[in-house]
Amino acid sequence: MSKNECRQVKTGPALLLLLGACPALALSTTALSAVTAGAFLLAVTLLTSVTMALLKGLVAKEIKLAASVLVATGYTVLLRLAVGAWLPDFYYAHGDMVLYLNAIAVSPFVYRQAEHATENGFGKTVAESLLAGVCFLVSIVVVGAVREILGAATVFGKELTFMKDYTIALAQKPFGGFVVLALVAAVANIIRPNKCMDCKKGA
Amino acid sequence: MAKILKNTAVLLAIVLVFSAAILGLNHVASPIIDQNEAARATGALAVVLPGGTTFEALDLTTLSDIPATVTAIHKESADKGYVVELSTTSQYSAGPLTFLMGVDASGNIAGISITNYQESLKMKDEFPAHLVGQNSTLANVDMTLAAGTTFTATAFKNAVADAFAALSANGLVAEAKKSDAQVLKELAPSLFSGLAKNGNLDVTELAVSGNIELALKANSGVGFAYVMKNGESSVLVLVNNGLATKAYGVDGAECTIPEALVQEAVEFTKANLTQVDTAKFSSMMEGATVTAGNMDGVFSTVAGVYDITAGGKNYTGIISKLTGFDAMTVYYILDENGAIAAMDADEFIFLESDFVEYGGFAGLNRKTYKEGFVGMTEDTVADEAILIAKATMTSNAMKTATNDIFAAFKTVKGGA
Amino acid sequence: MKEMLALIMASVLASNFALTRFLGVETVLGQCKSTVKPLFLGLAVTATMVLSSILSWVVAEWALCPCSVLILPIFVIFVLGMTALVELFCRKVLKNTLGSGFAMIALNSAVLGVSLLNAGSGAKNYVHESFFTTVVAALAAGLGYALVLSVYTAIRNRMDDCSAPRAMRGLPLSLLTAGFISLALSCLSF
Repeated sequence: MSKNECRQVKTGPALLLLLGACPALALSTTALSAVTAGAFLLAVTLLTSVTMALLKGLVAKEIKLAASVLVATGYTVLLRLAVGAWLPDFYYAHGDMVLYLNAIAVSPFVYRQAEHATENGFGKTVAESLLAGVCFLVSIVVVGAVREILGAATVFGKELTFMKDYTIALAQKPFGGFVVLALVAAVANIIRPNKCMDCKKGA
Repeated sequence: MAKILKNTAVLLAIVLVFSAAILGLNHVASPIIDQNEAARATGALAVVLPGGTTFEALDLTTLSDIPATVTAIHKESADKGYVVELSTTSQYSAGPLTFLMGVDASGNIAGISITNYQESLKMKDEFPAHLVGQNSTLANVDMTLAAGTTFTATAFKNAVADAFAALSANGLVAEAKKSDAQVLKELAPSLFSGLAKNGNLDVTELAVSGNIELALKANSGVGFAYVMKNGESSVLVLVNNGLATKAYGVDGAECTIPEALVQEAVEFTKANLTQVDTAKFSSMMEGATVTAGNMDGVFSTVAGVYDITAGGKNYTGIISKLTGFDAMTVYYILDENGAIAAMDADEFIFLESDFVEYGGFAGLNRKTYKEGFVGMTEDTVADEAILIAKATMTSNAMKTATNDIFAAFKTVKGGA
Repeated sequence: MKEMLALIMASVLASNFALTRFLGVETVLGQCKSTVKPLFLGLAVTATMVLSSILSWVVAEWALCPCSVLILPIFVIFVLGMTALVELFCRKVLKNTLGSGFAMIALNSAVLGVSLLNAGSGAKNYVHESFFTTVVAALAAGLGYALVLSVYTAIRNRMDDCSAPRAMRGLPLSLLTAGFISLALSCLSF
């Protein structure tokens, strides 16, 4: 096992952030869009995994991927329409919100939960999806808040006058996203260390 | 085979069920989304035209004389005014500066909101904010509010002027009439280049008296400009450091004015004149004696023309004051034939005392640079001799100063 | 022609799909000693992008208008279909299955993203791009993606043996690596 634990970790917060890296990086420029992204992902994950758990008997192994993705896509569009119509403040929180919400349809995060849904019982599925979604939501909101505070001296749109002179524009650019997410992932690693696939004890 | 059929059926069923649900929801949600989108667009426009409720975009192809910076014009349905979308660039920005400008029915700016502005050094908010309430004359634009971001602010101001031009050219908003004083003030930089810095008037206003309506002293110290009352009309009177005068009318053409007015301008100038320091000439040439010379007709960046005698020969010393990277004074001593005998300059690149290893300028050998000018005449002046690598603004200023100085020499010596 | 060149350079470098637009970044970040060679994966992704965006263009241009809200499911179906096609091609012609690469391509937001971006993000407003532009955009996006994959994997493998603080091992280090590459690319805006 290499020093850097490069191999895919089996479980843990780092895995969640890895699988949900697209919305985590793209939509976390402000806290509000981060909330939207996290909540949206949570909803899609929950609905998809519940549906897949219900369809367990019908879906054969060969079409598991296709079925999960199609179900996820369906829920993505439905939820996007709902958010666009009845939650406009969240919908317009980010310039490219629509593109990235649509991209959640093929997110590995959703697929992983759906995959487990076809193997585990209904109750376990719901619990796992909920936990993963909420953990992700918390993480992405933290990232979003940090990036917004550092980058624009506002939080959820409210101005922070004491930060106004100390803004780092880079925080809201791609590089800032990577750095802040890395730090949040590091904190998550400390709080709840990863269990890795084949590492020796103490490595 | 059955398996494939079953799988396909399952997938198809999923697709159909969700499609039905999506189309159903879309039927309900789509109109609401459209409404939200329209409200957002209107909301952005209503910010700059308070009280505006619905807007209608005008077809720019049906209008005439639309400058390139105007990208859209929206008419407020209740005749409250217009919102103009503008896009401009300053030469130093990465992307365009786009903003919305609301003009109310009486022709005043109702609001300005900047929508896209990618710049590391932003204009201070006070600059666009102080434009609100002004009309198309833009008489009270204060460029000092944009110190440090002059290029961007100038581009911004020009775009605002373009918006007014577009609106008045199509009869949408009446163009406000500029006062004579404003017209003359705006003419001044093109007639007396020493009054301007980067295309904008760089002057201090002095307290007025008598027939003088507006007294401007060049911050570079090359002279004065006055807007004076000449009977019913106003004239622009320029006075340089040598107390030579020139007068222009509102049409921009040179005119003659009564001797009394000229005297008044000269007296005012004498009272507010700061003497130009000529001490440098003695260090440039051994034993130089300096006396003030004739400056008739010299209205550029030249701050002084002097007659110098040294070693039994007659020379002309000319000083130019302008802005390169920083405020700069350039000294030239020309011999009787107009060839350069010596050259020196005050600006941080040139001052031995102030200048310590500034980045890439370590290679500038000041002595060699200055000696490179000796012997050049107006016809033989070479750009390569003037250029200082990596110091574009200073080099350009040196070029302007050189041109102005040779032109001044020609003017006062009568085309030598 | 100039716009085409600018589009290519932008898609490959400054607006890189993986590192600037964050589409498909999960696959890139997860690349550590994976079973699929990065260049091979990159080419497979490019092929899928081109094929699915061609299909998407055909449908969107001629068949979509009445139910434009279904644009996303249709594109997803095309992506899945084309991924299966590429998998078939690899198995039959190249005698070399994609293995876990299949999931990496099918679940890749970059592949879906190319089709979506060529059609205007999948929102109401459909943008009519020309066929040529669509294909070139897809190719450029894929090439940029392959470039990032190769560079990132190479760097990551070299970093395998360096000592990092325990908390920073794994994902944080991956993210920082990708971040620095993205910082370098962001300087190349045209």
